[in-house]
Parts: sequence; structure tokens; C-alpha cells
Amino acid sequence: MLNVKWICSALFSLRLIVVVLAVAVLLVKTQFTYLQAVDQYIYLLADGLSSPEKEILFWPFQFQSHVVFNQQLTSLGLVSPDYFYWLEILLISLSASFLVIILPKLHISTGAFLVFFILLTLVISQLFMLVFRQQWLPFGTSIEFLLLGYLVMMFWLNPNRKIKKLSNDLQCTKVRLAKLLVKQGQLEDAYKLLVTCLVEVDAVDAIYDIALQQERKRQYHQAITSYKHIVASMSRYKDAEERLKALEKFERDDKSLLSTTEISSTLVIPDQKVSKPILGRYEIDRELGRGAMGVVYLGHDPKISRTVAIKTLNYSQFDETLLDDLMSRFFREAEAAGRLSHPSIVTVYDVGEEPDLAYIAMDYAEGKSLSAYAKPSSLLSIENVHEVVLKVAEALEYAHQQNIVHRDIKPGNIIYNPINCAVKVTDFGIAKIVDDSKTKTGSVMGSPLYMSPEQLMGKKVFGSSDVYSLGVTFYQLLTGSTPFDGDSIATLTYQIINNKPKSIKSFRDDIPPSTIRIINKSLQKDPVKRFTSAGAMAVALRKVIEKEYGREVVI
Amino acid sequence: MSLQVYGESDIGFARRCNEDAIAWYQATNGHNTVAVLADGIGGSKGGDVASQKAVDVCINILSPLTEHEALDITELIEALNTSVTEANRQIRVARNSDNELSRMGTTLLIVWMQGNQAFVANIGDSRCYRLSSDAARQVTRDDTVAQAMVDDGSITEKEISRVPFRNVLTKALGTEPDVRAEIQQIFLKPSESLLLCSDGLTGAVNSESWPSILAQQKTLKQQVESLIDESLNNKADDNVSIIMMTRQ
Repeated sequence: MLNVKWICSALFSLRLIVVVLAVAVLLVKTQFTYLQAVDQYIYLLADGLSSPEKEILFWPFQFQSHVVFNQQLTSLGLVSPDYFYWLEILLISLSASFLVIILPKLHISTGAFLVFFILLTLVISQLFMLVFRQQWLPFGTSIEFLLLGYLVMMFWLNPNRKIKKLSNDLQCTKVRLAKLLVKQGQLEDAYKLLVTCLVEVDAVDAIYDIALQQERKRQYHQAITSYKHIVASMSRYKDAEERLKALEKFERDDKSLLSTTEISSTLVIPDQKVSKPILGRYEIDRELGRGAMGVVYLGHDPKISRTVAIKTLNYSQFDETLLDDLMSRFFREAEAAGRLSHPSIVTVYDVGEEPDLAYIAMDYAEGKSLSAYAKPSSLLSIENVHEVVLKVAEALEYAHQQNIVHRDIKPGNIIYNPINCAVKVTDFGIAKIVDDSKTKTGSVMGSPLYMSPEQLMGKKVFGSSDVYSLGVTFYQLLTGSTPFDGDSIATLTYQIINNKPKSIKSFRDDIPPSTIRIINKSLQKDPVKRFTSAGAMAVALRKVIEKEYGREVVI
Repeated sequence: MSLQVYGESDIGFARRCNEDAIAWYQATNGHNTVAVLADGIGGSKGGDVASQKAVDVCINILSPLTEHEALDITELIEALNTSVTEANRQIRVARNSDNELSRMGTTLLIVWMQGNQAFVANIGDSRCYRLSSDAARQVTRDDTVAQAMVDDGSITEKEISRVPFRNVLTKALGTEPDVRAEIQQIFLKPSESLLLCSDGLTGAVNSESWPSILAQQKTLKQQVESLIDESLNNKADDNVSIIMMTRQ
């Protein structure tokens, strides 16, 4: 395609005329007397120079016929040397090459000066040879050709210079616009613009940048197209070819994971040759786990080198009609959670959106979730459990005062650091986001194990519901078992609403009676009969710790 | 009096695939008719496979029996139970053989009609209604958490829409090794007909408005289509399937 274009532009160019002219001059010069005009004039000039006393009429020029002039030369013994035939061919070829190849690359005045210089050299050489060496070297044809060729070239060069300048300007503008579009995140538009550019380094550079960004934004398919374009237009450009191969292999191997359709679907962290994915301004390092909404990743903010946990809400698990509502709830809740600032609550830094998911970036808390300490074989000491529950109660009291109910307090949402006993409550308000977006199998919602009776009955929930859930968590951290269990959501729901919890004494007998009273009070079916607030529960816990373990807990 | 039956299934307004399946079979003499409706579950994977399998199995087992002139009630109930058990078995085999389908299941509603009698076998939350000119009364009882809560007195009917696990099924085909349908025998008055539907219809069009919508249409086909149109007008967010059976 490119070659055809090149041939066309070469064929229908004035440059071709110059070349044709050169050949024509060489072929027909002997048949056209007028082509000898310059030679005859130079001869006259030489005649005038060698015999100044002679009166020579320079103007009007008396043009002699080809035959007469040649006879005159022969009578004077002036014959061109044998090598002149070849010299003339060489001169005209060189002139043609100069006009076609070198002249377009020169500045207009440099070109004119050079042509003038060459013409002058030829004239002087011819005069010199004739006057001092009595040798006839008729450069006239070459001089005429150079002069005529130069004129023809000027017709082409002038508009061509303007076109070139315009197309250069256009290329610059396109590339600059494309870069602006890239900055605004409109990668696709930028790419479309750049592929219309001439294949030059600046355009390819810009496409390469786009490809890199597409790769990081997990738009692997588009990245492949961009890399293909680069490889096709410029071979061995940076590492484009390797990246293309790595991506193609990655897409072949893991096609199903790229088109995310399930809740459990995850951003695939590709191998080293493919750039790390980014969400907003965060680079994703690895997967941390899976929560109610979607996958949680470990990432970092390269600008301030802060490590963050990123919770994602994958849109593909929800029906499109619900999505708008879900999104607005997501951002509202994230904004509410973002207002919380407490040592025992995971700080929310940022929320953002990508085409296929929304995410919350939050403090990455060191440690493990308390579910690791909620089995009979892995329980914490009773004293430690008191301390943990106290810290959570304090955190809840703080959040409740800001009118934020957690709704999903359970061991899995509390991160515990065994080294310094620090506790971080995570996922504030997130339960509310996914609340109404269930599926029939209940897979999105998780389990009602920690839900208060009023929450299960669909009533409006207040802080007292969190107190209940914390009571269940407390119970489980001490016994490794939840107060109610059932083989199905229906039986579990029934038990939570109607039955008394299993006695904690049936599990172990070393739990202080006052602790059992706190748990029983927080597990009351009627919210009014529970602690009046999480703060009241914290006060009761503090008293038990002081009494039983003789120390104060500093938060 | 002859029996007429017609049904349609629509993908609805928001779903990406139709997980409902319907089928019916009428004996050559036009007397006995069996209709089956299933609403698949399992998120994006296999709901449609499970519901289609359930419908196919039931029609395969029950359709030959429609040709028997006078089928004994115990034989019929036996056949209904067999088809449920077999459908359950086949779905579980498919679940175990393909990881993609490991979470699929389906509701199942079978209605066998002979003369003025109907036998209704149900698992899950697809519903059978008996329609008269002024009312639609639910024949089946949903196997859902919300219904269980209503039954045990935890909540009232009105509170169902607020319960978080309301749509979670307490019973479905394919999710457990053994499942039995609740089978009822009902007698229809000459003016009454039966309507089988998936929860897409009940979610989009309140059953109280059905009689007035149906009254405007003449043929059974038009009646079914008018209800589906109404549910689409209300932007049904689930698949909508309806089978109507009437005696004329």
C-alpha cells in the first residue's frame, strides 16, 4: 500500500519532468540549433576576451546555424576532446540528481546560490579552457539544462514547501491534542487521532504511551491493537513487540477472566512483562481476599508511597437497571465512612470508579481478621478478647454518634494485630450497599449469623443492632461457636428471631459471670433491653477488665 | 368442556438471559393436560440449564401418562414425585460434572389437569393462582425465607418486602440430594382458570390487578400476552413466564 503511494507521488511529480528533460536534452541536443545558443555566446565572449581590439557585437546576438558554427570551430582547430561526450552525460546526470534530490532539502536562498555558483563555475571553466588552453568544452547544454530544471523545480518547490509546513503543523497539533486527550483519560479518542498521523517518532511515542496506559487499566484488548499498530509502523520500537507478545499470550491463557461476569471474578495480576493494573491512581500489587462486594486488593499510591487496601465493587454481578441506584448508594456510604476518624476504625482515603467497577481505597491495616481467632482451636485469651471487644465497642460508639451504623459487625470485619493488640473495624456502611442487591441463592449477602433479629425482620436498624452483632462476635471469640446455628438460612433466621441462645457455660466454665451478663444483655431480642449504646457496653466491659484482670485498657 | 392451555416466557427488562423454562403437553383427546414451569437459580451460571432440564424431565415422564383415560390418584401422585426426584437427580449429576454449573438449581411448578380437577406440585417460589372474574388467589405456598418467617409469626405479610433474605429459597431443585414437592389437589369451578407464573410477573404486576387486565382480552393467547406486556411496561427486572389453563 505504502509502495503504491510512493510510486504514484514519484510518477506525478515535477521532479520526473526534470529527469525526463535531462534525458531529452542528452538525446536531442544535436538536432536543436537553439541549444547551442549559450555555447555560441560564450565563444563570442572568449573571442572578445582574447582579442580586445576586435569589435564584437554582443547585442543583438547574431545567432549562427549549427552547421556554420561547427565549421567555424573546426577551421579554428577547436574540437571537443573524446572524453567530453561522457563528461556531458555525467554533468547532466549530476545536475538532475542535484535538482531532484538535494535542492528540495535546501533552504530557498541556499539553493539559488548553489545553482548560481555551479552555473558560474561552468561558464568560467568553459571560457578559461577556450581562452588559455584552446580547448572546446561546450558546457552550454548542461548550463541550459540546469537553468531550465531549476525553474521547473521552483514551480514545484514553492507550493510543496507550504504543504510540508502545513502537514508538519498538523502533525504537531494532532500529537499535542492526543496527549491532552490522554491526560483526560480519553485513550480511545487519542488513539483514533494518532493513527491518522504520519508515521513519525512523536506519534508513535504517543501511541506507545496510550498502549501502556491501556495495559495498566486492564483494557488488554485495546492495548493489543495499539501495540500492533506500533509494531506495524515501526519495527523494533522500544519493547512494543515483547509487550504485544506477552499480552497476546496473557489474553489467550486467561480470556475468561478478562470478561468479568461473576462476583468472584478478579482482576488478574498479569506476569512481569505486562504492566501492573491500576485503579485510579493506585497500583495493584496483589489480591488480599474477597469480601461481600467483591475482591480486595493490596495496592499502593505511588505519589505518596502509601500502602492501601482497595475494596472493589464489581458491576457485573448486578443487573444494569439496579446499577445507578447502587452506585449512588455506594458513593454516599463511602463518603459517610470517609468522615470517620478513629484509631480503631480503618480510615477511608478515596473512592473511585472504573468502567467495570467502583472501589474504595482505605488504610491497609496490618494483622488478620478476627475470623482467624473464632474457631475453638485458635481462640485468643479471655483477657485479650475483652480488650478487643472493648475497642470495637468504643469505635462503634464513636461511629453511632456520627449517625453511622455499621450493620455488619462480625469477626471477618475486624482486623486484629497480635503484635500490639491493635484493632481496626472495617467496612462501615458497606452492608447497606449490598443489602438489597441479593440473589436468590443469597450468595451476595453472606450469612445472617451475626444479624440482629430486627435486621432480619427488615426493620430499621440503629446502633443497638451493632451492639447485638458485637455480642455475637464476643460470644464466638470466647467459645469458637455462634449462639445460633442452623443448616439453612430459614432455620437460622427462625432461631435468631425466636430462640434463646445456647448457654455460654455449656462451652467453657472459666468465663467471668459479669462477662456472661454483658453478652446476654447484648443478645437481647428486644433492642430496648440491650445496652442503651455501644458506649454503655464499653463501660461495662471496662469494669469487668478492671475487676477481673486488675488493669486499665488504654485506647 | 375442553381444556385450553397457552404460555409464554419473556426475558424481561433487565436480565441478560432467560433462566425460566416452560412447557406443556395435552393428550390427543384434549382431556388431560400437564404444564410445567421452572425458574432457574445460580447467578449467571447454569440457571437456564437447570430450569430447562427440570422441564424436559417432567414432560418426558408425565406426557405419556396423559393418554391414560382414568389415571388413579395415587398413580398420578407417584408419577409427580418420580418426575421431581428424577429432575433433581439429573440436575445434581450435571452440577457435579461441570464446575461452571456447580451452583445451579431451579424452582419447579407442575400442574396436572383432568376435568375439573388439578394437581399442583410445587418447589420454590414460582406460583400457581386460580383466577376468577374478580380475583386471583394463590394456590401454592412459596418456599422462601420470607414465607417461613410469615408462617412462624416473625413478620406479617406486609413486612415481606423489607426482609433482607426474602428471596432466598428454603427449597429448590438441585440444591439438596432429596427434595419433595408439596402436592395439592384442587377442584375448579366452571368459571375458574389456572395461571402459573415465575416471580418475574408477581414482582412487576400486582396480582390484584390481573382480573381487570385479563377481562379486556378475548383469547387465552391475548390474555397471556397482555400480562407480559404489562410486566414489561412496569420494567420487570426478572424473566417473566406465564402459562394459563382454562376449561371452555
